[in-house]
Amino acid sequence: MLPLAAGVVFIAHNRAPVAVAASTPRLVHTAMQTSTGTNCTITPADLDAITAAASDGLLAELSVRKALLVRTITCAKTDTTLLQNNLNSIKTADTAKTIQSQLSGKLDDAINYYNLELGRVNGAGIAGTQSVAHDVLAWRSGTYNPLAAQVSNFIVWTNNQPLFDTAANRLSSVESVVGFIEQAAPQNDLQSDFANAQSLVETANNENRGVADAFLRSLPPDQTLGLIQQSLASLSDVYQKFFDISAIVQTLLPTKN
Amino acid sequence: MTLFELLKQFKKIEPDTAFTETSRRAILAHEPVAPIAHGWSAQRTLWKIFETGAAVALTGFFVLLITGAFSGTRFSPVQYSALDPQSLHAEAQAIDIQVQLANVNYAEAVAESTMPTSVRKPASAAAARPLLTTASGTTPNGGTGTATGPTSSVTSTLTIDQALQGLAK
Repeated sequence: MLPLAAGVVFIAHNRAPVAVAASTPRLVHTAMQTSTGTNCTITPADLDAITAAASDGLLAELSVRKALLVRTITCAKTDTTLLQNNLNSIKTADTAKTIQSQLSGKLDDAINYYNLELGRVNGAGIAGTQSVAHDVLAWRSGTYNPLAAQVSNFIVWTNNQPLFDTAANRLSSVESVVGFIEQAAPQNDLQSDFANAQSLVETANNENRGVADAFLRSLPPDQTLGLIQQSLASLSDVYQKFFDISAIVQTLLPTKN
Repeated sequence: MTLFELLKQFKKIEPDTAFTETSRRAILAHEPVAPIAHGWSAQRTLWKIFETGAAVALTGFFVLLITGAFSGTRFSPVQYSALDPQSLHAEAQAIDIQVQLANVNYAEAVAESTMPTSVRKPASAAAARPLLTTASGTTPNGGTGTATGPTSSVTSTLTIDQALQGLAK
């Protein structure tokens, strides 16, 4: 199963006229057809068809096996292409462009791998198709799935960046309010909460930068995701502190409701 | 005599002859004011430059003031809206959405680890807690605090890995 994220498309666009518009992102893997017309809805019945064909002889079984294997790998390749398109369409800051192009390059390698394996299927016998399926499965497990997870992480992380910018701007605005109140009538609680908020913003920003380092150092996706979650948790704490400051200011300068 | 006739008689009023003469002499004796000379003068040029500069500077200052260029400086008015709970809430909610999105990824990773052919995800990364999730576990926008990955739905559709597993046999 591939990891999902907002805006991430893992499956081919449906070209059928009655289906969802081609540009509409789909979040599930049960897409029907690739752009080349391949049906990507693979069901247990498709596998059962191999067993049924076996009773008609080896050639019949081989034909069904090859067709399903080609279909499966083509769908996997389409997923990769769509993921790459999503990745490339993200507008990133200059610092993140390096990560973006690194990940995109790795997805290029994945597409090349699928093409090579599709080439192997042509001349394969029954054992050969089983071997190709086994190899692709192992490769996906060890190489592709972590890569797809990392791309998904990158997309989430990229979407986080405006939140960090907003928090920094908010801190700056809050600073002017707190500074004004402090000049008029010093408040220990207000001073303390604002100092904590400043510290938390700094922590959140450091953790956010740590995520970028994790991408550049190609840390495992679960570790990167953990860092992303940590930075968001710190950002949540920042806003909790802003709420505390807001409550104090409301008591000092009650507004009409 | 009516008022109308009285007013008609005002037309016949004339000034005293002596006063007329005196006034005419006084007017004729007054020297006309010489027109201002527009020749070049360093002092006048400098003054004009100063006037123009001051006008431009004042205009620029007001433009900057209107566009809020002084926000964040001590010249700007204090913006109490920075601590408006509603706007804070909106920003915090945006963070919550990202937290939940990251948790979906995490749930996905955990789900993958249960699959025999998938990459194993260590459970070290604790899922971040949404800030605005209430005690009952419901989020402000009505969602459930815990995200459920798409793997929770039972369908008869195979994933690519599942299909490959079947084909490898």
